Amino acid sequence: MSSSTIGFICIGLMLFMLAIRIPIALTMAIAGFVGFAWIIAFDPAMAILESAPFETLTNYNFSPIPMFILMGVLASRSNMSNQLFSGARSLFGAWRGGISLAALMSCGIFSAISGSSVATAASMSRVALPEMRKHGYADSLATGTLAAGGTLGIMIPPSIALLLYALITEQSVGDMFMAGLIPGLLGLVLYCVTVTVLVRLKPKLAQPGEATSLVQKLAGLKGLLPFTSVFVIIIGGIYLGLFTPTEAAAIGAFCTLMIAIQRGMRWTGFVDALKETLVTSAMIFFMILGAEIFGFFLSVSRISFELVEYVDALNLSPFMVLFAVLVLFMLLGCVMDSIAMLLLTVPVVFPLIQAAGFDPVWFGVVAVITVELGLITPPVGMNVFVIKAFAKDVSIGSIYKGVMPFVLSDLVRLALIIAFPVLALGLV
Amino acid sequence: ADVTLRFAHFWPAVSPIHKEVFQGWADAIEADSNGRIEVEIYPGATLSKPPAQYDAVINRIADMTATVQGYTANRFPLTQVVELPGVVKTAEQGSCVIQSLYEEGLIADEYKDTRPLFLFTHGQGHLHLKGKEVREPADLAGLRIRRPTLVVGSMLEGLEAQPVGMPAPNSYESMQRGVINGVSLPWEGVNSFRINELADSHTEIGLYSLSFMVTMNKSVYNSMPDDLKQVIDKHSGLELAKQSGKIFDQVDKLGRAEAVELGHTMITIEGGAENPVWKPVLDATTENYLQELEDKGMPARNVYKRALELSEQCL
Amino acid sequence: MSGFARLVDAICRGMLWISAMMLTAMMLVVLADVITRALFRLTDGSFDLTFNGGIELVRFALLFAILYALPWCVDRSQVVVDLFTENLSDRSKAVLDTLCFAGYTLLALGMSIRFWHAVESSHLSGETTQDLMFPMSYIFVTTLIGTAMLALRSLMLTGSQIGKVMECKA
Ligand code: NA
Ligand code: NA
Repeated sequence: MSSSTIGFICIGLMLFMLAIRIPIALTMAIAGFVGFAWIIAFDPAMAILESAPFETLTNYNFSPIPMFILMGVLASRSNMSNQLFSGARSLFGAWRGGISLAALMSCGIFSAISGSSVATAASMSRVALPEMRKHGYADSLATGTLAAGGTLGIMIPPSIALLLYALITEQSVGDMFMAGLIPGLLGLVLYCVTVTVLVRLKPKLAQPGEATSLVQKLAGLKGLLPFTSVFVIIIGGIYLGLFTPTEAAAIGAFCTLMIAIQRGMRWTGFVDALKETLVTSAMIFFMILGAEIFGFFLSVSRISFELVEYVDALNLSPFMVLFAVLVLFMLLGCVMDSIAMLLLTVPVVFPLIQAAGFDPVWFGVVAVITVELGLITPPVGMNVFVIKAFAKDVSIGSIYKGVMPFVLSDLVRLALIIAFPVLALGLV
Repeated sequence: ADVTLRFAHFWPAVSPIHKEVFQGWADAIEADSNGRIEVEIYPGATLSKPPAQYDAVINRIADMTATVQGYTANRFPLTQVVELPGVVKTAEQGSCVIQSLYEEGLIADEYKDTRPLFLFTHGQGHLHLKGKEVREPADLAGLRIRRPTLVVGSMLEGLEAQPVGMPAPNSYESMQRGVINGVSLPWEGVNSFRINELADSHTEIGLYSLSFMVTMNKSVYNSMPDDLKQVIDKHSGLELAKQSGKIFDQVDKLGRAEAVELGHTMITIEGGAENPVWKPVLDATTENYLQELEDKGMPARNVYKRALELSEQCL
Repeated sequence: MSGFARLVDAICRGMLWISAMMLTAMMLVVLADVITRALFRLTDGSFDLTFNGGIELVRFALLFAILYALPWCVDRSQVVVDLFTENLSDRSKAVLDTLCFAGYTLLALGMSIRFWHAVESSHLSGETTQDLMFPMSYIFVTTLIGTAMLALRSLMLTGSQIGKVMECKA
């Protein structure tokens, strides 16, 4: 049997294991191990069990992942998100849908120091959801806003997804982060437009809030201060050459820790934050490990090599290739976690995209937006599940209903970035 | 094909080293075996990361590799005597030195775990920096410099730089992100790993030269029929070593010409490693290295003496 | 839960502490590296507290931070595709969970066997790390402890899952 036939069989095996609820990390590891042993031999496959974990876990470039997570955890545990939200709220005062807009804005600002979407959604839901429900916002709008707002965490830098994409495809992390900035902000703007249009069309969705005076608004700005200062230190330090983007994660985590201590975080709080960070990091590294083992197998199966030849022979136009890849991402996104999906698919589709002549940095942004959609599309949307955990009495169905307008807005953004690549590449 | 050899190395697929040295070798093997041996090359470290490539061959994750002895610290200490300043003048001559040392049995014990086909060296290694200039040893103080192996690292440390160990393919990224201020590489490496896009100043000093090997898994070789073994043997040994060195020398010229054309600052240290300002520090490193091995009971001085003799003979 | 299982759990909780320390160390090493470098630059090299091997320290801190958290997190940090199995009976779910922990046991066992070999061969070859010249055999022993505990805890979880499958049957 040819290597690529074995390759496809093992990919089938992996899909089957995914469907029967075997953890994603384990399915990748098993399929990779079995495939490699089948194509090469058992002993070399065993050797991968040494080289994959060791190479992955001693990879300096992965060190920002736990640091970005720690930053987000510390910020949310030390009431920084609380203050951020109330600050943003006083800015919007009596606007109809103002609390939704405040929540979106807080998500955007929180994203500037958090690398993960789930963390962003969870931290902001904790504070903003009760507020919206207290003020008579429709459940669909309240939960939809937060589920969608959370996805900003993955695009506005720093972002674990962009970091992983850069590492898999050997792009510069700095470039990827810069390329994510405008599309991330564009997402925020479009979400705000979506909310405004929604409450205009259906005024019942949101009650107007209490008006705030100019003094209150100015006082509210204080809530944005800690986040802005951490962000400025990170960006300023990189810009002045004081530290590298890789080191910036650790410096950011340290600054956030200092703010947290100043706000009364003590030993037990810090230890709890570390534990939460470790559980989330372990989740991601379990999958990276699985993907690494799977990667050895993908290499020797020569699948991506043959896939490129096959697609070449089809004579598709570059845009058809891109379209096919994005549809594949959206379909997978319905049932898969975003990080897992990137780890799984990018090594296979990247050669196709390169062969079609697309800019790798631009494609990274397009890929991450598409993958990010998966966080809020049914049936498996991680962000929706997170919101559900904070709003147990709201049905999953009505959260998905609330999120649909935002899915639409993401599709508009995707189209804009495909039509105008400069949106992603302008700052690179 | 009767035999498929998975050949892992870390040069990018677009580099002349991949195309001329390794793809060239593979084509010759396929032609001479009438297609009975097929060579699948995995360039760009796609099958195994550089520091793990030697182990990957021992464990048969790959069947063969072209890699750097010094990426696994302390495994090829006697071979690395060749890397000390003053031994290697050009890649072709250096390759002749290292292959001869191997064939004379002076360093062969270090290669027991695999079957080496040929050993070679690159040309002289220099310093390439971004935003800094190095004219004298003092200029290196506090700079973070990528170093390929421990031997080179201890030299840089003697010069008060902060050596950071990393394989050549990681140089570009690290330099771009500012993890390091510069790299020690031959001009070939500057060309292969696109360092001219980042560096703006080059100090030609001939600090060191790396030793490389092309080596194969033992059991894979042993399981081949005799006529195919002969094909492999035919494409092994001194001639291949020198031929590879020659290509490295050509690419060295490419890399240097590129930098000149880009208008980079070129600093040439008069007399190279023999320059009186640099010599004391470099000599001290050589002496330390040899003594350290001698203390462990290895005939380092013997090998070094022979390497210097060969260095003249191979010219 | 048997006394032995409780002991394994306690050890894994202890390892989580080591992980937490490694995470903190990672942050502090980077901080120290950045600060000493800045001081060096500001004082034109006269105030030199810079140290070698910062990057290597971070790399090994990352290794042990994650590796020593895995045993404790193996049943807490898994992402599954819960799409086609939502309506399965509790018993079927328990069977699938058993399979999953058994899979992790085998995976971690395989790693442990390999790291055992790595300890031996690196001890013989005297290989060291690149920057700080720390013997690789020590690093591999420490790694082996992590993978072995991952195997052991996964095995314990497999056992207790089999218990649950039996209960469901009854
Ligand atoms: Na972010
Ligand atoms: Na989804």
